[in-house]
Amino acid sequence: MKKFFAYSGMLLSLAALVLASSPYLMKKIKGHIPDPNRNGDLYMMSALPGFKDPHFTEDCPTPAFHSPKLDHVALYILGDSYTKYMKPASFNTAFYHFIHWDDPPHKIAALDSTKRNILIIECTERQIRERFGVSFIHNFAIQKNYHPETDPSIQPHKLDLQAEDNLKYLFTFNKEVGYFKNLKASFNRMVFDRVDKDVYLDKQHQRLYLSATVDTEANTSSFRYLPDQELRTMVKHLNEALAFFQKAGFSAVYFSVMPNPVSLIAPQTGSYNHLVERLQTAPGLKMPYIDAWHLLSPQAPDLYFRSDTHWNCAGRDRWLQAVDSLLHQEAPSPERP
Amino acid sequence: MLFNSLQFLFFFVFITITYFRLPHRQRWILLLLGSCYFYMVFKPIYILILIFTIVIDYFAGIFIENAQGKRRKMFLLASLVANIGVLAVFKYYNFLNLNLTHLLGEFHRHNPVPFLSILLPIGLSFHTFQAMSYTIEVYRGNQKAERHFGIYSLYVMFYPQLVAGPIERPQNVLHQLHEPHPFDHQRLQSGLMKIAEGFFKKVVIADRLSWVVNHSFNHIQQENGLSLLVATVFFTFQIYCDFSGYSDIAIGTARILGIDLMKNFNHPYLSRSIGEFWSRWHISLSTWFRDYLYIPLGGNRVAVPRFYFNIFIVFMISGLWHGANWTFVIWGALHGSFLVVENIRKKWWPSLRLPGALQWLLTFLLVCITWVFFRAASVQDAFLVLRKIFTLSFGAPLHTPFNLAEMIFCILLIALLLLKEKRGWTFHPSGNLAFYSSLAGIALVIYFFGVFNYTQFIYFQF
Repeated sequence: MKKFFAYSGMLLSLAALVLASSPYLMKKIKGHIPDPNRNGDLYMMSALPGFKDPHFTEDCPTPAFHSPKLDHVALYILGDSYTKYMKPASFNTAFYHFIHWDDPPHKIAALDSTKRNILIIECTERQIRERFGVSFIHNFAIQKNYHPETDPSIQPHKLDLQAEDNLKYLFTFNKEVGYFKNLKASFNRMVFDRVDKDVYLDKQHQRLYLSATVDTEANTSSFRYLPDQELRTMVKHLNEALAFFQKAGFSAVYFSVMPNPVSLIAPQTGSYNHLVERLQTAPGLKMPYIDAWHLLSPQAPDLYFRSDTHWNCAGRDRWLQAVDSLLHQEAPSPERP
Repeated sequence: MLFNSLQFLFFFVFITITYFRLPHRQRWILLLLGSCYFYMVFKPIYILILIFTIVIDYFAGIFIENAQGKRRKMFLLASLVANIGVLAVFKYYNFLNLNLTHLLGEFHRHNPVPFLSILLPIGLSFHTFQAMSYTIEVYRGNQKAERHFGIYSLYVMFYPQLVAGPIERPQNVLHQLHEPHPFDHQRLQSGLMKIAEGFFKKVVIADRLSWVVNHSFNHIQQENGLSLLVATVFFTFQIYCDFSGYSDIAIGTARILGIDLMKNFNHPYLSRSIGEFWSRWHISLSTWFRDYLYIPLGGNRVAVPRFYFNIFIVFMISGLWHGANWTFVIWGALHGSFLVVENIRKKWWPSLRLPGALQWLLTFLLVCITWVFFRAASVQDAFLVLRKIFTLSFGAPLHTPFNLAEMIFCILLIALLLLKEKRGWTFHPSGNLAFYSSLAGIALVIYFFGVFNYTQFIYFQF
């Protein structure tokens, strides 16, 4: 019996280490284990039971478009978590391609010259200073015959010795561990009035926000001082990007900043820096924008999840409808004979 | 790999069970490969530095043993130059260059020497010192040169103490790596309890106190004296629990494998003098400096001024060992100065003694003051902290990230720690059921009261 336990422990621990050290195997297994974000990322971080959303989903219904399909438009989005999970059906266009900010160098297959190629640069408010604060165009390349599925530079590494995150993913997001996490988080909140360092609980204990969007030490914060000079630098880089992408063949380029939930729902939490509004109205800005700020600010609490840092399906739908209207204005369907 | 990580948990289970399933002659291979993996999790390429010093010291040991006369010294020097050279390049090059830049700047000159963009290999000072102790002991004839390359490599790389000590001596460890160690249930229990104690110190006490410490030390300009005083006292216990917690886990892990590592801490905050403090704090380092620097300099068997100079210089170098920053040099210099004063008092005014409790309090306060230099980011910051502390107003509000309940909890933890050390409490229930139930209980307490930020151990950076 002792031998059985010894060999079981040995094999299980070895298997766990091997599995967690292999991005390839992790990719294979991810569909078969519970998704840590299944109840919202803010809940995942905080483990506060009051913020668990059993109905949370990133798989929103396809929007109901009231206008004809734009068969002559190829839409590209350079985006992050807000647009990551969108499918081609989320857009009323003939072609849709998503490029993630986190995967440079961004290679794009040669543009189809028979279509109107439109690019939307989507960025969250919390990452805008990091991304637009530097020139980002050198990360892009448009290549003939480019096939992302065979690009070795974006294939996962064979081995990654830093397996900690994967081990956490494998072993700490199941129901049983979740029970202990809930207990601990509730105890810390009730006795020590403290929540996980990655989240911020508002004074009324009604909403959670990402700490990074509240903590003034962080460049990602809605309440960190924003000097005009920094704003001018961002404008310069956006204008530079506009010229670059137009030259690369895009007929239109827009940017759209997704506001931090705290900026819309609780701007009184600190001294709000009005980054989004200031950028969109900055003198000298040439790149047009999709104004997510004014789209989402009415009824903002109803357009963001309580358990997650992102918009819910209603918020997402509002933005998608705005994109659709814009595409129809930008590239009206050719008159049919 | 961090001890306070899930990865270590699986690694530890796998290595320990496999170790006892393997025949004795194959165990060194498992431990060596495991140690390589343990180290490479931080930054794989830096294993090459370890291999470089291991190869040099392995052959240096054999050559020293076989050589006669001046050639022995030459081989020892070659080994020391290689080890200190690695330290100099990776740890002190940019520091020296920065000082050169400042110096030339005073004369309005430009420094043409480029800075190196390198990360400090984790635990570099620990394993180079352990490697140096081997060649020195072979040179002195206290240790036979190790012929088994694998065992010698394991002596330098043994994973429990690879990145933060205890800095071992070859006489203590090498023979243990050769000996067979059958599974011993008593050792398993005692090792597990030591590990649990280490984890409690690290994640329940040190990482909790670090919130308050970081909160104040990251905003020195805005903080008042009272908050900085509390942060300094908390840092005093944070660094102790962090480092002695690491040592406990290392000692416990090695104990289970049948290997006894040296004691690294012996209740340092119960000391009644700075001299006593240094016989209880980071014992493996202080004895290293005693044996390989202080005594070769003449120790106390020299003229009185030279004796004081020896103390001072050893502590200055000990400070520099910790980090390439003037804050660490001042930290070492302060300890050296306190020891010199203590020795002057002993020599000239032996009857001048404070009552025991006051001696303890004075020692504790002096140690706390020195920790300000250890924790502050710069010398200017350290002086600002001290200025604010010495002019504090008790009416000022205390700024901490904790509520009253958690502050009281922190104070209770510190009191419990001191009481345990003072009374010498140990916890080892007899009987398997009682033991494993208690261990599970302790694990639950650590989980519920632990702060799991996966914070590195402070001493890893050295």
